[in-house]
Amino acid sequence: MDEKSGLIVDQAGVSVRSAADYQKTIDSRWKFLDIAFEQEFEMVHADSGATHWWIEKLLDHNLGYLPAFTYRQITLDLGGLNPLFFAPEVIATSRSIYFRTRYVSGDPTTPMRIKGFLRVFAQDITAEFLAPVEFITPSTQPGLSTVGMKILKNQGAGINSHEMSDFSINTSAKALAVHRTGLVTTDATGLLSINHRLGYPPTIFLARFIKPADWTSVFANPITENVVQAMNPAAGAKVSATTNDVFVRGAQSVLVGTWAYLITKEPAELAV
Amino acid sequence: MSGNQGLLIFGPDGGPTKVRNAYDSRKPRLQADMTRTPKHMAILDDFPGGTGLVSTADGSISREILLPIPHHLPYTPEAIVYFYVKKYNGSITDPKAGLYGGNIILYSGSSGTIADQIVVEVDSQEVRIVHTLQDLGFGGGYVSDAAKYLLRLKYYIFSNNSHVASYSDTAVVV
Repeated sequence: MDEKSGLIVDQAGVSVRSAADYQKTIDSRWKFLDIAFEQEFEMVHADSGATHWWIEKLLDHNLGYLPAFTYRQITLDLGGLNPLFFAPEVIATSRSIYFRTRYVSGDPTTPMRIKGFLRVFAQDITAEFLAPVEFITPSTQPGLSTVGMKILKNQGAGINSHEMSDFSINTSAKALAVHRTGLVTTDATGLLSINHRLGYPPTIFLARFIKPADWTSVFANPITENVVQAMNPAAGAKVSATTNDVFVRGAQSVLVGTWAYLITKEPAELAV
Repeated sequence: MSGNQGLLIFGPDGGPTKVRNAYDSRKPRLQADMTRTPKHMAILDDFPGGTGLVSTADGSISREILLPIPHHLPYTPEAIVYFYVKKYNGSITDPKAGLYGGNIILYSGSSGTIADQIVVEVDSQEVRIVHTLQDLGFGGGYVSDAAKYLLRLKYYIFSNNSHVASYSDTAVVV
């Protein structure tokens, strides 16, 4: 596809000719944060007595890359485990998603039960990707419009539904476009620096990237692949930004290691 | 629409058989409804950071709701709030100003014994911006400096079910 072909659909009430990049609902030149699948899981783990970390496979996603994903805990029964020793991690390889935590000496044999929800995005969060930057300043704001586009997600809902989750596309909604993904490693001072070239401070998500060699001693586990943790919106971090760079530091402790990042085209603090 | 019907747009290197098309209507997205009242995506400027909550004893948690946002969705939605510290003690050049982060802002006194922060609570009724002060061994008497913070925040309430009754994200990257 050359640059003269493709499809651009803007938010309702925004002029196609003057829309900022983040006011697009569809732009076939770059990606949006599509959801590959989402599902609940229940895990029961009865192992006990070990001081080592353990893992339990939750599901196979078979995407072939390290996906951006989120995790929410629905219910938790620690089975008598001291909550202080509960340090859960949900991690993804290129094929599967695992739950990882530890039991310590003195654990009861009562199984741990956890029910959770996974939302897996069709996006390799570790891949080096940078979308083009076209317009960064909007000349019109979204507003009420009688013109728009809707595509239903399934047959169950009607086209006049007011519930956006019924739609794959609805120009009355804001969807997040992917601007940049990749890996970045902290420097000696614990600073993550990402050049995003957007022209304004962006929204950012982070996920810890872990190589097999990063897990040693009692923390070792059978996974011999690179993994990523669930992503979050830099929760608890200190983020600063210039128009083209974003910098992340730990708020209370020094940030270490390698991190996968996902920067969207959405401004963090500018007018919409 | 079944799984075999929909709108596909090929990417620059794509085709109908590519795993990754530029657009595939069969895939849902995180979407914020721009027609809702109250708004499901908005910027709130000059937002006060809270008051001088005082911790009472070890293990105590004090909290104040700074803003409830009714979402009118039939489930507990996914929500993200980016907090930006616009000023600290009236200054934009103070080292505590000019920083932002998602879902949590740790205030300056937070340490191993105090957790003084702004968090986001979400349930089936509303999204709440909440200032909490937790005493984790300070022993009582800690006074929050939240009133010195002036924030700008941008929030998204997505029309996507979180599948939990309620949640409040805790610090992940600290």
